Amino acid sequence: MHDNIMEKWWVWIIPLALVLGIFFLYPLLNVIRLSFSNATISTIEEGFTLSNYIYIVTGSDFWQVMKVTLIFVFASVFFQLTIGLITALLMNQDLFGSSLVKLSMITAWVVPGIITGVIWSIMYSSSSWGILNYFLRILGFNQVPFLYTPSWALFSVTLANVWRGTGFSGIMQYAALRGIPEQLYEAAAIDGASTWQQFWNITIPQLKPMLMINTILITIYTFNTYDSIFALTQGGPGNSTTVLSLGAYKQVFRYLNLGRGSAYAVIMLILSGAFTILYVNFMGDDQ
Amino acid sequence: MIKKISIYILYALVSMFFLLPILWTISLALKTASEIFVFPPTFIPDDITFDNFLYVLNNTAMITYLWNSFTLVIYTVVGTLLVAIPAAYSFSRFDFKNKSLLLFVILSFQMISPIVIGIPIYRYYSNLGLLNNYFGLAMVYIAIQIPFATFLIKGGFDAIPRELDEAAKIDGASRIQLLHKVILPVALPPLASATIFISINAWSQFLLPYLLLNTTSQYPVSVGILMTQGNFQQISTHYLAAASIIALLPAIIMVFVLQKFILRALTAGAVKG
Repeated sequence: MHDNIMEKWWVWIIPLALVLGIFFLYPLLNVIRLSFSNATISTIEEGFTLSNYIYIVTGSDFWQVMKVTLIFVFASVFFQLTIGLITALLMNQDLFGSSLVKLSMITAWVVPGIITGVIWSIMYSSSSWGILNYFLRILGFNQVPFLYTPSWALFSVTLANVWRGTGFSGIMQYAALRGIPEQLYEAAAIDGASTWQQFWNITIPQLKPMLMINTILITIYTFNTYDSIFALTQGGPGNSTTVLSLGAYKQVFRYLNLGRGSAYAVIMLILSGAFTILYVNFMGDDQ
Repeated sequence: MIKKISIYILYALVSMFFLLPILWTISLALKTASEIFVFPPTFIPDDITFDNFLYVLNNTAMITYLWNSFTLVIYTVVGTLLVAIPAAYSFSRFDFKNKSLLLFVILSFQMISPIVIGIPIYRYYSNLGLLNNYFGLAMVYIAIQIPFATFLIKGGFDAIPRELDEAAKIDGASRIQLLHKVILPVALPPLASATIFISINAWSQFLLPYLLLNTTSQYPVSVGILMTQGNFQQISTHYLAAASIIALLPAIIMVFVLQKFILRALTAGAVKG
């Protein structure tokens, strides 16, 4: 009897179903329901309303947040991919010292987001310990208010995120480079292809699947990032570095508006859903 | 030759980009209060001191924060593995309808930001009296880690030939014995990868403990350092730097000791996609 029941596939999945159901799926459904209510953090919600969504979509705050999110995600992903690719190609040269590059990338990657924010806020300081301003001064530039004007602040939170995220992208691409069969290059060399031609006609096409997966994964991770921004600027000055996730947080825990914050969260959910479908489709094509 | 030299220069530049923020923080942490105000700044402190570390250890709750983080990591690793291993076994060894669809559904939870579930969980934990409760918090950590851990471990199980199972089955082993005696012993590398991944992620968690805990003595290091930043800002960057380095140390030690495993964990997740 005992053995029989263990022959059913679903028995083994019960713990997973319970934990995900209670701590993930149920809250998820709840947040959707809350987004259609006028609940605050302390009151019990009542009725069904679209007012949160109408408020969000017709206000200017939300579109500002969307704009910041888009710039932050797009710039982060672009630089994580390109710097990741360059470092992957460099590591693949396998000279003495390539393991230092690997080690330094992984080190940056394991730094928790909050500590990333703290460390970079020291780097960006305009006091004597703000080493970036010191470098700028040596090079003959003026001081830069890294965290104090809207556009510099957005630049600064993006740079800190690129610093932390590039290790992941670089290591994945390095693994993909390692997987390209050596014979392809040997054959091309016999045919007289230059290094540059080999790069465009072998390396890039062979890397393409990994680049696609990587792009989608980093997009999702970046989209969900808030801790390094939280430690650097708290979303400010003004709303200039408030990405969607911080926007949701502020609505709920600063303005105590549970309904609106939930609506932000649902919008995030829809967007990550779209990325996920993209990912699943892509994986499906690949198999 | 020129090519080699330029590659070395690029190696140095790239390593500097990734290491400079950490090295600079270490440098500040080793300086005296007066030296951090010196301009131009010194890279190697004139007067190396460990007083900042002692001050932070004696005057902040950093040790408690570290211990709390460590506890949460252990809970999360154990809990996640307990749930993910049987699920991974099922996905690897049973054949059933819509298996890959189900796996994708589970994996898609991975894409959801913790803030989304953090909002309602905060609400019903405060109703249930589960705020400031490690069990409640760890359960959410575990839920977040399960999807990817299941996926990673399933990949590891798939690589073990089914013939091994068949042989043991003929000998009359039950499914549980199979998993315990045949599969788990050979699946140590993927289990190690999963453990590293879970640990790194659990160590970094910030928003959930920030929302679900409100007693200082319970904060993990990520929340603790933010409080420390608030207390120290502007007047004592050398203390903040020392606190950051203390908070980072476990992760950095792990990188140095387990570099090979971390590389494998990263690439295993990626390549099998």
